[in-house]
Amino acid sequence: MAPETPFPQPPGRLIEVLHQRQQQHGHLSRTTLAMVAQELRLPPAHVYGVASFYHLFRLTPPTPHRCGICFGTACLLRGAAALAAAQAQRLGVRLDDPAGDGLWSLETVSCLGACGLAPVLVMDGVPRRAEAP
Amino acid sequence: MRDGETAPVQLRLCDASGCRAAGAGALAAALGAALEGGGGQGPRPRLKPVGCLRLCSHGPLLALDHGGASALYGGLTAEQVPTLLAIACNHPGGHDGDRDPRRRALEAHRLDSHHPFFALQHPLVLETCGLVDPTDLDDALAHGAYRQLQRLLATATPAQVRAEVRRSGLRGRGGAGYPTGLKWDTVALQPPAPRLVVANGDEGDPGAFMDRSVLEGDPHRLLEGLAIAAYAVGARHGYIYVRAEYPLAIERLLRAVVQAMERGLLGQADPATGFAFVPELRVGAGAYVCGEETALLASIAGGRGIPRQRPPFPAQAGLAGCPTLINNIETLAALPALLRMGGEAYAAIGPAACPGTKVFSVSGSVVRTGLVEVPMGISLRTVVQTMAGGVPGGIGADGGIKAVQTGGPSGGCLPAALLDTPIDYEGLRALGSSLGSGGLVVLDHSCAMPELARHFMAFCAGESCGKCIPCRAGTVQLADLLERLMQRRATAADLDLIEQLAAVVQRTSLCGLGQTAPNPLVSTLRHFRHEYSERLLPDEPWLS
Amino acid sequence: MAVVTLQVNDTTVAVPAGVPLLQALAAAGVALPTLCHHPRLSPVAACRLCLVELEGASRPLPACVTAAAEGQRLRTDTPALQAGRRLIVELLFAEGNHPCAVCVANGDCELQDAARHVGMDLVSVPYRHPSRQVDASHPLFLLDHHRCILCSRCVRVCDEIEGAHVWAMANRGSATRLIAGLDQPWGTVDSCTSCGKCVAVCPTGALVAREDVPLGRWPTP
Repeated sequence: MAPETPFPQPPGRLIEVLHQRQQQHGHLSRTTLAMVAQELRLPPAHVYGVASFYHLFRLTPPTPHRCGICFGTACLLRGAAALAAAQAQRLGVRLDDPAGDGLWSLETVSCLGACGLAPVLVMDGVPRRAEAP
Repeated sequence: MRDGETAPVQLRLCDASGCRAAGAGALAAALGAALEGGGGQGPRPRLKPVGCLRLCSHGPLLALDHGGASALYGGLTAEQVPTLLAIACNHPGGHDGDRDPRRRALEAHRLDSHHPFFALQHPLVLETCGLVDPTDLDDALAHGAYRQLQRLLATATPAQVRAEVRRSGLRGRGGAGYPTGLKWDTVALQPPAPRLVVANGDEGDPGAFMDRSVLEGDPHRLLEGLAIAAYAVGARHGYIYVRAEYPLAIERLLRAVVQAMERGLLGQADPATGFAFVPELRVGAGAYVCGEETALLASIAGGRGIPRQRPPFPAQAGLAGCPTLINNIETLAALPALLRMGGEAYAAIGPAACPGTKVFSVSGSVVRTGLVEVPMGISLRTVVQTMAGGVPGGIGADGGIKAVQTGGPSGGCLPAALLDTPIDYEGLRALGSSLGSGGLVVLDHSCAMPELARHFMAFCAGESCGKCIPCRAGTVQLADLLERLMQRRATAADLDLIEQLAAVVQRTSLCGLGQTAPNPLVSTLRHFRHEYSERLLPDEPWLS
Repeated sequence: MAVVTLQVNDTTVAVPAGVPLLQALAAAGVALPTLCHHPRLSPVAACRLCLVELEGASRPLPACVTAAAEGQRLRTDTPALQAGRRLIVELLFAEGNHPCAVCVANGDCELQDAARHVGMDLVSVPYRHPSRQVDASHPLFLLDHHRCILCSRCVRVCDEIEGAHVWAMANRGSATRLIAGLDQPWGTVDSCTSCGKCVAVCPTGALVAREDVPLGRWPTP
């Protein structure tokens, strides 16, 4: 099925594999990273370097529920900072503390491209319009 | 309208992520249930999920097509579904002037399709976005998808395709505005070796969602454009890099790739030319710098998204050393329409130096936020004031607009006095801003420019890859100095240092991220310097 | 081999075509500080100290990766280049913790040399005083992150010459730091051959041999 290989070496699949493992386990533990390194025959330091470079890879377990606040320009102008402060108070957690209160954590997320609805809130992965406080 | 012929009555519900966030899901469920349950006489309307219907601020958007006419509704909820269906089923054309209070309530949601926001649009990239069902290949084919690819394979050589694109004057829509035809020639004319094409869908500029809308609303158009580009430069393999923040776009694109491969539109050798093209999807993992082309290639190869010094350019030595063509999603999606109308006709749209149409995402303090596709060279005022309506409740000649932020973190701010500037690459650059990928964020008078500059600087500091020192350390210092200024603890000497640092970061950074990171700061200093100086600590004469 | 002639600050020199401009600078007797460049390692053009102005180019180019070509005219000493170079060195001093007086590399440090070269008599940007770690887990060597300037020479020498792949950069932006293995103590990384090449190429006192450190200052593992 695979067409003729167009390169001397097919490009690495590391990022795809990391996505898969994070989907399975919720985060990328050191054990997972060590296994990935072994499977793909990559130096462990390289695997850790890649996993820690990208914001969406989590190296620590996430809380069961997560609330994201978009800090894109449009959301910022329409009160994202006040929204974040209000949510932090409501949930009793600090912004961008991945541990949260063990149940909820509050994080800033990069622009989701839903600027028409600013400010945008992401509840457990589902973006929705938030009323500016 | 083509749709009118096949389905006399249909409901096109915007199923893009913007309208989903505004409650399109609940509306779709209510419509589905009501249609399932029957009711009404007449032909049963068909419910069709479509891509972006443009006016995101009024979502969820729903278009009712009825015998060639079309009515657009915004902000509907499940409560209005029965009334809507009653109109759709029983009263063709009877949308206005009814005594039923429920109908009057529904009419309040109807949007004026003659408003400049819709009337001034010139859809080419988005010509079938909002009309086709992005999950249905047959529907896309009925709207002309892959027709240009097949025509070119049958009738044109790769060199002819490149010549047509050169004639069109199309320039890259990712922000730099490099002539597309020239880039294609550079790749095509490299010494014999495998070539690759890459679609750059790492749309990271905050406030930009053009590429997302194309991917979510019309994925086959991108695939057709990418295949045409591959044919023109002699590539058989390509990558589409999409940022992970766009899950719906990824889902739709993946489905479209599978459909096109299964149908033999892609992946199989064309009988006449032997051309076979295989696209592959790569998903980012949250790194703004990967929009830079050398970082993008590093990320596709599975590594850290670290840029490298150019030259060599990817067109000379890209992925695995192969000549690699990298085009932005919007550039590629412009190709089917461009090649259908011909290069000359395309070049006749907009200014000669910078022809064609451009999609802008308008957001911030405006009445109407959403997507507009307009000819290049249109004035900023037409887009943000005439079309988007200016600041809600804004008064005065400029509609309450203080400035327009263009080009995201690599762009700048243009004050209201410059609203009549025609939009093109060189024009905005000359004013210290940049077109960027096409995000326009409207600022009202409550926005403090130094605070906006600090926000963008902090953004760039967080997104710097950390490789070169001016960007890694310079952006952090600048963000801190601006923070100090916002807290009114900065002195005139600090402002001098800010300007020196900004110049060094611009001039010495390795890649585009660092080179443009100070742009919002520099452009607001240029047009709004008083907002900086009024925040400085007063001079302390006893210290000097 | 084709030879090209080009001008470095008004001196005409001849070098093989395609070699990095740094060679042309050397031929002209012009020395520029370089922190990421190492003649035995692949170039990364990260430190931006060897930027030169090439006639006709829109922005300065790093001499370590720009190829020499016939007829080039380049300048290494314009006021803009000098100011940029100095500010970059200042940024490095402010970014880490570099108290030379208590550093083993004092007097044998390329960062110090660069500071002397650019005439740094004061750091104009605020010191950041980061809180960093020291890794003393290796029996022969020490890693002091305070003095690391992230030049990546150690990463490259370990990959390209020793082939042990012990090092990598983790995180990004100002949070970037050098890691061994899976971000573990250096002494616990199995693939390390204790060859000492990383220590040899380190431009500062970040990677040092225990024997060079005055007795008693560091705990032994």
